[in-house]
Amino acid sequence: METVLATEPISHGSDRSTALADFDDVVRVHGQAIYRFILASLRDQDAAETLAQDCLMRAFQARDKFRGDSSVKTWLMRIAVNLVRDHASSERLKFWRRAGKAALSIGAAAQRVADRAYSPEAAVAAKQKAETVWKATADLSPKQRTVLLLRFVEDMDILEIAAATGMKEGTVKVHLFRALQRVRARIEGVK
Amino acid sequence: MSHLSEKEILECIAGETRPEWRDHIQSCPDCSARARQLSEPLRLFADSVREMVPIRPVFRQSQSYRHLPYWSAFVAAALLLLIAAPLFRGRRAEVAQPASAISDEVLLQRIQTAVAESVPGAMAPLAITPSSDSENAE
Repeated sequence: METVLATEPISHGSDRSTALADFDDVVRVHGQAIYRFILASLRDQDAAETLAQDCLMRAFQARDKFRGDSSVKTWLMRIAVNLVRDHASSERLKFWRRAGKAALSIGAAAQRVADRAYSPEAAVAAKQKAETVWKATADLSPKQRTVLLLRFVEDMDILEIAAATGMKEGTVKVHLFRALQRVRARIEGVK
Repeated sequence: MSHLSEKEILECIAGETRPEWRDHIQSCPDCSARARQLSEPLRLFADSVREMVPIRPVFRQSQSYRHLPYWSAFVAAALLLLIAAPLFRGRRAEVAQPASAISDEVLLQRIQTAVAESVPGAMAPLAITPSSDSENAE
Protein backbone atom coordinates (compact mmCIF):
# COMPACT_ATOMS: atom_id res chain seq x y z
CA MET A 1 0.00 0.00 0.00
CA GLU A 2 1.30 3.41 -0.87
CA THR A 3 1.72 5.85 1.97
CA VAL A 4 -0.27 9.02 1.57
CA LEU A 5 1.78 11.99 2.56
CA ALA A 6 0.18 14.24 5.10
CA THR A 7 0.36 17.38 3.04
CA GLU A 8 -3.30 18.24 3.06
CA PRO A 9 -4.18 21.35 4.98
CA ILE A 10 -5.38 20.86 8.53
CA SER A 11 -7.11 23.80 10.10
CA HIS A 12 -5.21 25.07 13.13
CA GLY A 13 -3.07 28.11 13.64
CA SER A 14 0.69 28.16 13.09
CA ASP A 15 3.27 30.20 11.21
CA ARG A 16 4.55 28.23 8.27
CA SER A 17 7.47 30.51 7.45
CA THR A 18 9.19 29.84 10.76
CA ALA A 19 7.91 26.32 11.41
CA LEU A 20 10.12 24.53 8.89
CA ALA A 21 12.76 27.19 8.25
CA ASP A 22 15.48 25.12 9.86
CA PHE A 23 14.83 21.44 9.31
CA ASP A 24 17.69 20.47 11.62
CA ASP A 25 15.72 22.14 14.37
CA VAL A 26 12.61 20.18 13.42
CA VAL A 27 14.59 16.93 13.65
CA ARG A 28 16.09 17.93 16.99
CA VAL A 29 12.75 18.90 18.52
CA HIS A 30 10.47 16.21 17.08
CA GLY A 31 12.78 13.35 16.07
CA GLN A 32 12.60 11.58 19.43
CA ALA A 33 8.81 11.85 19.61
CA ILE A 34 8.45 10.36 16.14
CA TYR A 35 10.81 7.53 17.04
CA ARG A 36 9.14 6.63 20.33
CA PHE A 37 5.64 6.73 18.83
CA ILE A 38 6.72 4.30 16.09
CA LEU A 39 8.63 2.14 18.56
CA ALA A 40 5.70 1.90 20.98
CA SER A 41 3.43 1.07 18.03
CA LEU A 42 5.61 -1.59 16.41
CA ARG A 43 7.87 -2.73 19.29
CA ASP A 44 10.74 -3.26 16.89
CA GLN A 45 13.76 -1.01 17.31
CA ASP A 46 15.16 -1.56 13.83
CA ALA A 47 11.82 -0.88 12.19
CA ALA A 48 11.28 2.14 14.43
CA GLU A 49 14.60 3.68 13.46
CA THR A 50 14.02 2.99 9.77
CA LEU A 51 10.49 4.38 9.78
CA ALA A 52 11.46 7.41 11.87
CA GLN A 53 14.19 8.13 9.33
CA ASP A 54 11.69 7.60 6.51
CA CYS A 55 9.15 9.87 8.20
CA LEU A 56 11.62 12.74 8.55
CA MET A 57 12.90 12.22 5.02
CA ARG A 58 9.36 12.41 3.62
CA ALA A 59 8.65 15.48 5.71
CA PHE A 60 11.84 17.10 4.43
CA GLN A 61 10.95 16.33 0.83
CA ALA A 62 7.39 17.60 1.28
CA ARG A 63 8.29 20.62 3.42
CA ASP A 64 7.37 23.03 0.65
CA LYS A 65 3.82 21.66 0.70
CA PHE A 66 3.40 22.24 4.42
CA ARG A 67 0.93 25.13 4.72
CA GLY A 68 1.21 25.62 8.44
CA ASP A 69 -2.45 24.92 9.02
CA SER A 70 -1.54 22.43 11.75
CA SER A 71 1.40 22.28 14.13
CA VAL A 72 4.60 20.71 12.82
CA LYS A 73 4.29 17.93 15.36
CA THR A 74 0.76 17.07 14.20
CA TRP A 75 1.93 17.11 10.60
CA LEU A 76 4.89 14.82 11.36
CA MET A 77 2.70 12.51 13.44
CA ARG A 78 0.31 12.18 10.55
CA ILE A 79 3.13 10.96 8.33
CA ALA A 80 4.30 8.62 11.12
CA VAL A 81 0.78 7.23 11.65
CA ASN A 82 0.52 6.46 7.92
CA LEU A 83 3.94 4.80 7.89
CA VAL A 84 3.08 2.64 10.90
CA ARG A 85 -0.23 1.65 9.33
CA ASP A 86 1.44 0.72 6.03
CA HIS A 87 4.17 -1.19 7.82
CA ALA A 88 1.67 -3.16 9.90
CA SER A 89 -0.39 -4.09 6.86
CA SER A 90 2.59 -5.08 4.76
CA GLU A 91 2.62 -8.84 4.34
CA ARG A 92 6.26 -9.02 3.44
CA LEU A 93 7.36 -7.50 6.73
CA LYS A 94 5.31 -9.77 8.97
CA PHE A 95 8.07 -12.36 9.05
CA TRP A 96 10.56 -9.77 10.21
CA ARG A 97 8.19 -8.57 12.90
CA ARG A 98 8.06 -12.07 14.32
CA ALA A 99 11.74 -12.81 13.95
CA GLY A 100 13.03 -9.33 14.69
CA LYS A 101 16.23 -9.46 16.67
CA ALA A 102 15.71 -5.89 17.81
CA ALA A 103 12.33 -6.58 19.36
CA LEU A 104 11.63 -4.25 22.24
CA SER A 105 12.02 -5.68 25.72
CA ILE A 106 8.97 -4.59 27.68
CA GLY A 107 10.69 -5.47 30.93
CA ALA A 108 13.63 -3.21 30.11
CA ALA A 109 11.29 -0.40 29.12
CA ALA A 110 9.28 -0.69 32.34
CA GLN A 111 12.45 -0.92 34.40
CA ARG A 112 13.30 2.67 33.50
CA VAL A 113 10.39 4.02 35.51
CA ALA A 114 11.03 1.54 38.33
CA ASP A 115 14.56 2.90 38.71
CA ARG A 116 13.12 6.23 39.85
CA ALA A 117 10.97 4.78 42.63
CA TYR A 118 11.75 5.69 46.22
CA SER A 119 11.75 2.16 47.62
CA PRO A 120 12.25 -1.37 46.29
CA GLU A 121 8.56 -2.12 46.88
CA ALA A 122 7.51 0.97 44.95
CA ALA A 123 9.93 0.04 42.17
CA VAL A 124 8.39 -3.41 41.81
CA ALA A 125 4.87 -1.94 41.81
CA ALA A 126 5.81 0.76 39.26
CA LYS A 127 7.44 -1.76 36.96
CA GLN A 128 4.45 -4.08 37.18
CA LYS A 129 2.00 -1.28 36.39
CA ALA A 130 4.00 -0.06 33.39
CA GLU A 131 4.41 -3.62 32.11
CA THR A 132 0.69 -4.27 32.43
CA VAL A 133 -0.14 -1.29 30.24
CA TRP A 134 2.58 -2.30 27.76
CA LYS A 135 0.98 -5.73 27.47
CA ALA A 136 -2.51 -4.27 27.30
CA THR A 137 -1.58 -1.98 24.41
CA ALA A 138 -0.33 -5.01 22.47
CA ASP A 139 -3.88 -6.40 22.52
CA LEU A 140 -5.47 -3.17 21.27
CA SER A 141 -6.50 -2.66 17.68
CA PRO A 142 -4.01 -0.53 15.69
CA LYS A 143 -6.36 2.47 15.78
CA GLN A 144 -6.97 2.17 19.50
CA ARG A 145 -3.24 1.85 20.15
CA THR A 146 -2.43 4.85 17.96
CA VAL A 147 -5.01 7.03 19.68
CA LEU A 148 -3.90 5.92 23.14
CA LEU A 149 -0.22 6.61 22.40
CA LEU A 150 -0.91 10.03 20.92
CA ARG A 151 -3.13 10.99 23.87
CA PHE A 152 -1.06 9.75 26.79
CA VAL A 153 2.53 9.61 25.52
CA GLU A 154 2.51 12.60 23.19
CA ASP A 155 -0.02 14.63 25.20
CA MET A 156 -2.01 15.51 22.11
CA ASP A 157 -5.61 16.61 22.54
CA ILE A 158 -8.58 15.06 20.72
CA LEU A 159 -8.53 17.62 17.89
CA GLU A 160 -4.81 17.14 17.28
CA ILE A 161 -5.23 13.36 17.28
CA ALA A 162 -8.10 13.71 14.81
CA ALA A 163 -5.86 15.81 12.56
CA ALA A 164 -2.92 13.39 12.87
CA THR A 165 -4.95 10.25 12.21
CA GLY A 166 -7.45 11.63 9.71
CA MET A 167 -10.32 10.43 11.92
CA LYS A 168 -13.31 12.44 13.01
CA GLU A 169 -13.30 13.83 16.53
CA GLY A 170 -16.10 11.48 17.62
CA THR A 171 -14.28 8.47 16.19
CA VAL A 172 -11.14 9.37 18.12
CA LYS A 173 -13.16 9.56 21.34
CA VAL A 174 -14.73 6.15 20.71
CA HIS A 175 -11.34 4.51 20.04
CA LEU A 176 -9.81 6.18 23.07
CA PHE A 177 -12.69 5.14 25.34
CA ARG A 178 -12.51 1.52 24.18
CA ALA A 179 -8.74 1.48 24.55
CA LEU A 180 -9.04 2.72 28.12
CA GLN A 181 -11.70 0.11 28.88
CA ARG A 182 -9.40 -2.66 27.72
CA VAL A 183 -6.40 -1.30 29.58
CA ARG A 184 -8.46 -1.02 32.75
CA ALA A 185 -9.74 -4.57 32.34
CA ARG A 186 -6.16 -5.76 32.04
CA ILE A 187 -5.09 -3.84 35.13
CA GLU A 188 -7.99 -5.25 37.14
CA GLY A 189 -7.19 -8.73 35.86
CA VAL A 190 -3.65 -8.47 37.23
CA LYS A 191 -4.82 -7.54 40.74
CA MET B 1 -23.35 14.57 44.03
CA SER B 2 -23.30 10.79 43.75
CA HIS B 3 -20.14 8.91 42.77
CA LEU B 4 -19.02 9.06 39.16
CA SER B 5 -19.86 6.13 36.92
CA GLU B 6 -17.10 4.05 35.31
CA LYS B 7 -17.85 5.75 31.99
CA GLU B 8 -17.48 9.19 33.53
CA ILE B 9 -14.19 8.27 35.15
CA LEU B 10 -12.87 6.92 31.86
CA GLU B 11 -13.96 10.10 30.09
CA CYS B 12 -12.19 12.19 32.73
CA ILE B 13 -8.98 10.23 32.18
CA ALA B 14 -9.39 10.55 28.41
CA GLY B 15 -9.45 14.31 28.84
CA GLU B 16 -13.15 14.97 28.50
CA THR B 17 -13.42 16.38 31.98
CA ARG B 18 -16.45 18.42 32.89
CA PRO B 19 -15.85 20.94 35.69
CA GLU B 20 -18.30 19.20 38.03
CA TRP B 21 -16.62 15.81 37.47
CA ARG B 22 -13.19 17.28 38.10
CA ASP B 23 -14.40 18.94 41.30
CA HIS B 24 -15.98 15.72 42.46
CA ILE B 25 -12.83 13.66 41.84
CA GLN B 26 -10.80 16.18 43.80
CA SER B 27 -13.18 16.06 46.76
CA CYS B 28 -14.20 12.38 46.74
CA PRO B 29 -11.46 9.96 47.94
CA ASP B 30 -13.34 6.97 46.53
CA CYS B 31 -13.65 8.33 42.98
CA SER B 32 -10.14 9.76 43.17
CA ALA B 33 -8.76 6.32 44.02
CA ARG B 34 -10.72 4.71 41.18
CA ALA B 35 -9.39 7.26 38.71
CA ARG B 36 -5.84 6.82 39.99
CA GLN B 37 -6.03 3.04 39.49
CA LEU B 38 -6.00 3.66 35.76
CA SER B 39 -4.27 7.03 35.43
CA GLU B 40 -1.16 6.04 37.38
CA PRO B 41 -0.29 2.94 35.29
CA LEU B 42 -0.92 5.02 32.18
CA ARG B 43 1.45 7.71 33.45
CA LEU B 44 4.15 5.13 34.25
CA PHE B 45 3.69 3.56 30.84
CA ALA B 46 3.97 6.96 29.14
CA ASP B 47 7.12 7.75 31.13
CA SER B 48 8.70 4.44 30.12
CA VAL B 49 7.98 5.19 26.45
CA ARG B 50 9.29 8.77 26.71
CA GLU B 51 12.61 7.60 28.06
CA MET B 52 13.34 5.47 25.04
CA VAL B 53 16.03 6.81 22.79
CA PRO B 54 17.13 5.45 19.42
CA ILE B 55 20.37 3.49 19.24
CA ARG B 56 21.39 5.29 16.08
CA PRO B 57 20.64 8.90 15.18
CA VAL B 58 17.08 9.21 13.93
CA PHE B 59 17.99 11.30 10.90
CA ARG B 60 21.19 10.16 9.22
CA GLN B 61 21.00 12.01 5.92
CA SER B 62 24.20 13.79 5.00
CA GLN B 63 23.92 17.41 6.03
CA SER B 64 26.31 18.66 3.35
CA TYR B 65 24.25 18.34 0.20
CA ARG B 66 20.66 18.08 1.28
CA HIS B 67 20.04 21.82 0.93
CA LEU B 68 21.16 21.79 -2.71
CA PRO B 69 18.43 21.81 -5.35
CA TYR B 70 17.97 18.66 -7.42
CA TRP B 71 19.12 20.32 -10.66
CA SER B 72 22.57 20.86 -9.16
CA ALA B 73 23.27 17.18 -9.93
CA PHE B 74 22.66 17.85 -13.65
CA VAL B 75 24.93 20.92 -13.59
CA ALA B 76 27.69 18.88 -11.95
CA ALA B 77 27.30 16.11 -14.55
CA ALA B 78 27.43 18.63 -17.42
CA LEU B 79 30.61 20.21 -16.02
CA LEU B 80 32.18 16.78 -15.69
CA LEU B 81 31.35 16.02 -19.32
CA LEU B 82 32.81 19.34 -20.49
CA ILE B 83 36.08 18.56 -18.72
CA ALA B 84 36.23 14.89 -19.67
CA ALA B 85 35.29 15.19 -23.37
CA PRO B 86 38.49 16.98 -24.60
CA LEU B 87 40.67 14.58 -22.61
CA PHE B 88 38.88 11.58 -24.13
CA ARG B 89 39.26 13.02 -27.63
CA GLY B 90 43.00 13.58 -27.13
CA ARG B 91 43.43 10.03 -25.92
CA ARG B 92 41.71 8.65 -29.01
CA ALA B 93 44.02 10.70 -31.24
CA GLU B 94 47.05 9.26 -29.46
CA VAL B 95 45.85 5.71 -29.97
CA ALA B 96 45.23 6.27 -33.68
CA GLN B 97 48.64 7.87 -34.31
CA PRO B 98 50.92 4.74 -34.67
CA ALA B 99 48.96 3.41 -37.68
CA SER B 100 49.30 6.63 -39.65
CA ALA B 101 52.92 6.99 -38.60
CA ILE B 102 54.04 4.11 -40.85
CA SER B 103 55.69 5.57 -43.88
CA ASP B 104 54.46 4.82 -47.39
CA GLU B 105 57.76 3.18 -48.30
CA VAL B 106 57.61 0.61 -45.48
CA LEU B 107 53.96 -0.09 -46.22
CA LEU B 108 54.70 -0.67 -49.91
CA GLN B 109 57.51 -3.03 -49.00
CA ARG B 110 55.21 -5.06 -46.78
CA ILE B 111 52.65 -5.31 -49.57
CA GLN B 112 55.32 -6.48 -52.04
CA THR B 113 56.48 -9.17 -49.66
CA ALA B 114 52.93 -10.38 -49.14
CA VAL B 115 52.21 -10.50 -52.87
CA ALA B 116 55.46 -12.37 -53.56
CA GLU B 117 54.46 -15.26 -51.35
CA SER B 118 52.85 -18.17 -53.29
CA VAL B 119 50.62 -19.10 -50.34
CA PRO B 120 49.77 -17.21 -47.20
CA GLY B 121 52.27 -17.64 -44.41
CA ALA B 122 49.91 -19.63 -42.28
CA MET B 123 49.44 -22.21 -45.09
CA ALA B 124 53.09 -22.59 -45.96
CA PRO B 125 53.63 -25.96 -44.16
CA LEU B 126 50.68 -27.47 -46.01
CA ALA B 127 52.04 -26.23 -49.34
CA ILE B 128 55.47 -27.80 -48.72
CA THR B 129 54.34 -31.24 -47.50
CA PRO B 130 52.62 -32.55 -50.71
CA SER B 131 55.58 -31.57 -52.90
CA SER B 132 58.08 -33.33 -50.63
CA ASP B 133 55.84 -36.44 -50.63
CA SER B 134 55.79 -36.51 -54.42
CA GLU B 135 59.57 -36.24 -54.59
CA ASN B 136 59.88 -39.31 -52.32
CA ALA B 137 57.49 -41.24 -54.56
CA GLU B 138 59.60 -40.57 -57.61
